[in-house]
Amino acid sequence: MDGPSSEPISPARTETTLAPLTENARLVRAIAAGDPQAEHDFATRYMPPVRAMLTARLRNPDLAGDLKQDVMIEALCALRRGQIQDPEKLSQFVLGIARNCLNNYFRSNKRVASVELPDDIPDLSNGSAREEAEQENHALRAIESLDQLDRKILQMTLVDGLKPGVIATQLQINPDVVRQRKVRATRRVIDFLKRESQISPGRHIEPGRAR
Amino acid sequence: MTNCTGAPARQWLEQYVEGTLPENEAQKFEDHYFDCPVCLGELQALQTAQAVLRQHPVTVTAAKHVLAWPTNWNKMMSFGALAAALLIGFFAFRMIAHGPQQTGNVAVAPAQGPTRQAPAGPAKSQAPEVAQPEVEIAQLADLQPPTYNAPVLRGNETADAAFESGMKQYIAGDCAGAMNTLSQVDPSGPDGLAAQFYSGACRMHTGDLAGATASLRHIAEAGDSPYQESAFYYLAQIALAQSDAAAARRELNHVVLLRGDLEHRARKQLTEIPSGK
Repeated sequence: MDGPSSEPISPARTETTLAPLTENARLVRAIAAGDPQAEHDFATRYMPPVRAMLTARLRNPDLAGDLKQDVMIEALCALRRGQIQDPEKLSQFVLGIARNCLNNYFRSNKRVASVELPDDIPDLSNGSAREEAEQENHALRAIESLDQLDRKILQMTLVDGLKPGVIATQLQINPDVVRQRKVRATRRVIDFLKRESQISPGRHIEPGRAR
Repeated sequence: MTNCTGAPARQWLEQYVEGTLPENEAQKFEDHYFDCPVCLGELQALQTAQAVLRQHPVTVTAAKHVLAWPTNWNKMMSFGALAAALLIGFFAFRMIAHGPQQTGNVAVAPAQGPTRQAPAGPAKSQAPEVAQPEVEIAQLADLQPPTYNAPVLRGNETADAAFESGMKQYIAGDCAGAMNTLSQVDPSGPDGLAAQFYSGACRMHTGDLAGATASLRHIAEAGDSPYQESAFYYLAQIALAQSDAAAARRELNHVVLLRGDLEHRARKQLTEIPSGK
């Protein structure tokens, strides 16, 4: 799209310039037209990566969950107003909003809502409690299937944030052994969870696609 | 739609989750996984594991005593001295109470043969004079190629086509075909190391030990990878097949140091290699 960034996309214009319409363009156009299903699809697609990004940056899953809602509301409001310049850059658009919200949070150390919460926003809560519990059960089983030393190394890495050299000193083992075991344990946990989430009818680990 | 096989996740994931990835690379990874369900799935899996470990922490300090080398030497020395004194006292008491041991006394007498003539040593050396066949080092070599379990991949996720095809041949036992196909896998791609490893295993199985050594050495020296431990192990097997005990010990010691799945097998083989070799 060549138009200026502030210029909203009209459905008619999108149709003439993008033929055939891509999935992103269809989604953006439908949200601008007030289609609730499109908003639901948008939320389904972007809530997981936004939450993952905020969890990684904040290292606090609860706060990440709260901030994710702010990001999604702001993104949806912007899309309703047709504020996206290039629908093909929808992911970067959402990511940009997430980074802004994060920076605002870091600057003020509190959640800063830059838009009013609309009444008709789709359900932005996380998956059902049952699905989350199921997922955590899989993760617990994956971790329990690891060797005791591997578990310790994962804990010291992922939870305590320790470097392999420090872990090696504390466990009285070679730092290379720590690195090797960390790589292998991480891979095993990921593979286990991916396998389980594929078998399980509940929730898939990778929901990053609109249905 | 993405053709990603998870290579960016393999490159960046751990550091990203640990918060140690440089900012520019973290942003690149975010740009990528926002549109890549494969890498997003890996990130979510690791974050779930992180959350679970937070809720169910492993008691590191309790287990540390098992693993840690004793640091309180005064206590250790006192305990050792006490144990030694008790042992000396026990044997001194026996000497005084029973006098010197008589040959063939009570139940410890050997079944046959004069004890004075038998050299002191392990029971093995007192066995009848049948020449023990010396263990052939080459017989210890385990040249069977490792089994390959194809990973379960989700919908859009696909492995390198050449790798998949090569591994099908490998599973079917067609080593020559597998080597040929695996040579087409991009060595810098996500399946590059795996292709080189299984290709090396095929070479080893077909008797091309020099070629196998070259492939496996490259993997062993490439650093952390899921194949490093196995590479050292099979390098040891090749050394054994070539009756090079010193090299085999060196490679097996690498395996032991990595403390992985093959540690037990490596330790067992180390005890089986004749010491004089």
